[in-house]
Amino acid sequence: MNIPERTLLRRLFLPYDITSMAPATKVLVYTLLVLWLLVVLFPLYWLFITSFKLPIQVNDGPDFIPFIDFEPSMHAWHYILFELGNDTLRPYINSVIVAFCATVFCVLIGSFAAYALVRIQYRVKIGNVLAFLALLGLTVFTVTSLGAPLFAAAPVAIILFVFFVAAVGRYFRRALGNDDILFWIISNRILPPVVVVLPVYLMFQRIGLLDTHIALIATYTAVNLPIVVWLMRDFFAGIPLDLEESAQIDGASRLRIFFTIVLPLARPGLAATSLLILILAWNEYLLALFISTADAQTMPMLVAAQNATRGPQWWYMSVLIVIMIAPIVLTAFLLQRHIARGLLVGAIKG
Amino acid sequence: MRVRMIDVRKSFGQNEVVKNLSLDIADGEFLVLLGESGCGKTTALRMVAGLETVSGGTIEIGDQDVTNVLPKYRNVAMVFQSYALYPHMTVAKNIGYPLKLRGTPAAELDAAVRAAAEKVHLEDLLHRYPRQLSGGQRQRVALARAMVRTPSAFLMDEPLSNLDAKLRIAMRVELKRLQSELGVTTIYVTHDQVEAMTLAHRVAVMDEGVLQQVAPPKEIYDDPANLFVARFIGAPAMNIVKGTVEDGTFAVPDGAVSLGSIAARGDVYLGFRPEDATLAPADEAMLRARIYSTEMTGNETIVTCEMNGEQVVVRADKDYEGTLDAAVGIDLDPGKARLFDCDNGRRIRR
Amino acid sequence: MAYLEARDRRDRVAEWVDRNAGKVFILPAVLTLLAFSLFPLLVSAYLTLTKLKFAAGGFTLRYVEWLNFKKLIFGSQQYHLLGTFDVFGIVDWLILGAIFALLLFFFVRYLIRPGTTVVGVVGRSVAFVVAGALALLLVATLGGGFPGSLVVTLFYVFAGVSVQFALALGLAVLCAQNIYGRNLFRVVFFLPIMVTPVGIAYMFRMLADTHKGPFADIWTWLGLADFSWAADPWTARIVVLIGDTWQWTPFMFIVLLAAIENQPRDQLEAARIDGAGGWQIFRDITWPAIAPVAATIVLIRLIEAYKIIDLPNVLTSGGPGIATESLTLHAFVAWRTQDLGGSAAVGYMLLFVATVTCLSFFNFAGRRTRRTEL
Repeated sequence: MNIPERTLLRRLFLPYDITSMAPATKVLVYTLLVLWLLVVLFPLYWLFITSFKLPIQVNDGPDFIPFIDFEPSMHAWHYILFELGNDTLRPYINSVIVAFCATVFCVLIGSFAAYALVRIQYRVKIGNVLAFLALLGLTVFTVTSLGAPLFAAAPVAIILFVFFVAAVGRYFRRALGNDDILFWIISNRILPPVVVVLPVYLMFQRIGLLDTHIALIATYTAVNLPIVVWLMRDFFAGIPLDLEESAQIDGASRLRIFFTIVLPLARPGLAATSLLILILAWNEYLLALFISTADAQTMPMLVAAQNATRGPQWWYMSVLIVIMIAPIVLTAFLLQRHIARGLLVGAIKG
Repeated sequence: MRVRMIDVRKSFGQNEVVKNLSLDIADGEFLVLLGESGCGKTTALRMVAGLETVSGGTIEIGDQDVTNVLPKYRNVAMVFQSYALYPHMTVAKNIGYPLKLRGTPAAELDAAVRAAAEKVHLEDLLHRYPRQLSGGQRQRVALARAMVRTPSAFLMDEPLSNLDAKLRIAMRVELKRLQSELGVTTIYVTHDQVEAMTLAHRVAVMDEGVLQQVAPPKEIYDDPANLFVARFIGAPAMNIVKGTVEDGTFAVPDGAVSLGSIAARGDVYLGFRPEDATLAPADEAMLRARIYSTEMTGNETIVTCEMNGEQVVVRADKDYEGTLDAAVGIDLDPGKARLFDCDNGRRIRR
Repeated sequence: MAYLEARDRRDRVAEWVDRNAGKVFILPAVLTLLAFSLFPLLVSAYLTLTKLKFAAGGFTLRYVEWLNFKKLIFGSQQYHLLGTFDVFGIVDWLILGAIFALLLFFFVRYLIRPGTTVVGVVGRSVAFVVAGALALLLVATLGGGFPGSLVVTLFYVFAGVSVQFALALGLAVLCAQNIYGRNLFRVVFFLPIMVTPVGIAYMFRMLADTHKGPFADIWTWLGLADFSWAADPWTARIVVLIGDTWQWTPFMFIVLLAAIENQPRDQLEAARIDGAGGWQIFRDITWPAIAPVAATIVLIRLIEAYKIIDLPNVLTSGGPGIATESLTLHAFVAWRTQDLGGSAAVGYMLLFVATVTCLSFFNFAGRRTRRTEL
C-alpha cells in the first residue's frame, strides 16, 4: 500500500474521489465548454439583435447590448412582415408545404423499404438487373440522340424487359440479396445532386412541372430517401420478431402489422428521422436553385436573393433568417432527446 | 380441431431440421412436443402456425389442407416464449387485438376481453401496460389473448420457461385446467420433461429432427421405444448397463440378472429405473458395486453406485446411510428391466 | 372452416398484397430512386458528351464526343477545374516522389501479403492512381500556381472534416464528464445544425465585417480595419471553412457524445481499478469502443462535404475570382453561362472523386475499426 500524501499540488491535480474531477481539470473543462458555448451562441445573438437595429445603428459600427448601446426598433420586422407581406409569406408557405410533404413522403416510403429489407428476403437476379440497365441506357440513347419520342420508347423498353425476364430470367443463378439492395439504396446518397439536377430539370420542363411544389417535393423525397432507409432499418431490426409473428397468427396482414405494430414501436426512430429530413428539406438550397424560379420559390432562395437585389441590408436579412430558424428550433426542442439516439443507432450498426 | 402433420419435412439450406414428421393430433387433445433445444420441435410448431414454409409433406387442420395457407387464415392461437405482448397497447387492447382484426363489434369485443381476462384472473389489470406487469401476469395476458377467440388449436412455444420455479408449477396447474375446460386442441413445445409428463395427454419425443416416440406419459415412462427416450425421460434418468444375454440371463462382469426365457444374443443394454432397484448386502445381490456418493433429498436418498466404471443410481429410503466406497449389492425387478439393441438403440421386446 | 372458402374479391386482393408484400413494400422506394437518381444519372452521362442549348419551348442537343471533358482538363476551362500550374521545383519533385513511393509501398505490400483478391487489387489500383493524380495536382497548384475548383473542394472536404471531427471529439469527451449543466451544453451545441446554410453564410459575413461587425474594434486595434478578407484567396477560403465548421461540428458532436455515453460502464470501471488514468482510459477503452461510430460519422460527413455550395456562393460568390468555388458551385456557374454539357461534366468529375474517396475510406476504415468489436 502506498497512498500518496495529499499535498496542495496533488489536491489541485488529483480528484477528491472517484466520482469527481480534479479542481484543475474542472476549471479546464468548464473553460473550454463555455468557450464553445460562446462560439455557438454569439453569432446567433448577433443575428438576433441585428434584426432590431436601424440601418444607421448598423452602419455606425458595433453595438452589443439592446437598450444600453442602442434603442431596439421593430422597423425591420414591420417591413418584412407587413410592408413586403406576400413577398415574404409566399416563399414561407412554399417552404412549409414542400418541407412538410417531402418529409412525410420520404419517411413513409423509406420506412416501407427499410422494414421490407429487414423482414423479407429478396433475391434479385443479376442478369435481370443488367438487362434492365442495358434497356434503360438504350432508351436514353434512342430518345436523346435518335430523337425517338419518350412515350413510344419507354413502353417498348418495358415490354422488352418483361419478355426478357419471362424468357431468360429463370436461367440466371447469381442473385443480389438484401445487403446489396440496401447498399445500392444508401449509396445513392453519395451522388452529388448537381450531377442529376440537369436531367431532372429537363424532365420537369418536359412535363411542365418546373417551378411547382410537386417537383420540389418529389426531388427532395428522392434525395433524402437513403437517409431514411439507413436510419429506420436498425429501429425495425430492433423490434422483436415474436411481436410480428404473434400479430400474423392473430390474423393481421403485413400492411396492418406495419401500421399497427411496427410503426408505433419505432416512434423514437421516426421522430429523429423525421426531424432530420425536415431540417434537410427546409434548408435545401441547390435543388431549389435549379428547379424553383418564381412561383415555388422557397425561403433559402429568398434569403440568398437579398444580396443580389438590395446589397447587404443586414437588418432585413436578420429578420428573414430568424423567422426561418424559429420553427425548426421549436420542433427540434420538442424532439431533441430522440435525435441523438436515432442517429446513434444508425451509426453503430452502419 | 384435429391437426395432422403428414410426412412433414423442413430444411434450412443443406440442414434438414425436421425429418418426415407425421403426427395425428385428435380434437381436444393436449400434445406435448418434447426434446432438447435444436431438435426441431419449435420448427415443427411454427410450421403448424404457418410461420415457416414447409419443404415437403402436408399439414391439415380440421380435415383441410393448410400447407400453403397464410397464418391468418389458419385461425390458430399461439403463445410465445417471450409472450410477444405489444408494448404500446394496454392489457385490454392486447387481449382484444385478434378480435379487432376480425372486425368484431365493440360491445362484443369488450365482453369477450372481459371473459378471457376473468378466466386468467386479470380483470383488475386491464388498463395497465405490459411493462407495468410482473412476469406471471404477462404470461397470463398472453394466455388470455390466445383464448379470447375460439381457435382451431392452441400452439404454445415454451410458454412457462421464463417464469420462476414456483410460479411455473402454479401456472402449469392452471394451464392444464384451462385446456380441459376449453377442450381446444393444444400443441405445446417444451424441453422440460416434468412439464411434458404433467400436462400432456400424449407426449411426442423428438431428437435431431426425428420423432422418437408418441405415447401417453405413463407409456413413455414405462415403455420407452428406444435408448434415447429411455435416457431422456425421468430424473434421475434410467440406468443403462452394457452386458450380454446368455441362457436367459443378462450377465456383466460383476453379476447377473435372470430374465426368464429369452434368446441368446451378443452385447445388449439393460435399462432399469432407480426406483425399480433396491440396495442389498453385497454378497447376496444380483449386481455388485461400490457406493460413489449419497444425496439425501428429504423424502428419499439417491445413492449413486459405481459398477465396473459405470454409474448406477438407486433410490433408497431417506434413512439409508452408506459409507463412501463401501461394497454394496443391487437387486432389481427383472419384470421392469428393459433391453435395448446395442447397434441401433431400439427396444428388444421379450 | 368456412372462412377458407368464403373469401370474396376484396379478400383476394388483400391476400395478393399480403403474399407479395415484399414487392409492394419496396417498390415505391425503388421507383423513386430509379426516376430521380439512376435515370437522371444515365441521362446526365449522355449530356456530358453533348452541347445542350435551350431553345424556344425546349432544348437542342449536339453530340460533341469528349469535348466537354477535354475543355475542362486540357482546354480553356482547365484553370477553372484544375487550376493554374506552377513550374516544378526541386522541392515539388521531392514531395511528389515521397508520396508516390509511399503509395507504391502500400500497393506492393498488399500484393505480396497473403489474402490478395482480384477485387482488392482493382480497388486499390483505382484508389492509388486517383490519390497519386490528386497529389500531383495539389503540388502543382498549391506551390506557386492557382488552385481550381477541384483542389478547393478537396480543401473544404479534408480540412473541414478533420477540423470538425477533432473539435467534435474534444467537445464530446468534455461533455461526457460528470459536470453541471450538461444538458444545457448539449442543447446549445446542437443549435447550429438547424440554421439554414444560406443564413449561416450571411451571419458570418456580418461577423467578419471589419467595419460594422462586432469585432470592428479588434480589427482596428490590430491595424487591419481596411483589410478585406474577401479579397485574399486563402482568408476567403478559411472564412468559408469556419462557417462550415460552425454548422457541422454539432452533428458529429451529438453522435460521438451518444457513442461515448453508450460505452459499457463495467469496462470503464474495470480500467479504473486496473489503474488507468484519464488519457489511458480514452485511448484503450473509449476510442476502440467509439471507433466504428467515428468511422461512420466521418464517412457521412465526407459524402455530404463534397456537396458544399451554399456557403461559398453566398459568402463570397465564389470569389475572389474563382478562389472559393467548389465543384458544385463551378457546375452551377457553368449552367448559368449556358454551358450545360460542361456543367454535367463537372458534376461527373465530382461524382468520380467523391465515389473513389468515400469507397476507399469505407473499405479502409470500416474494416479496421470493426476488428475490435465483440
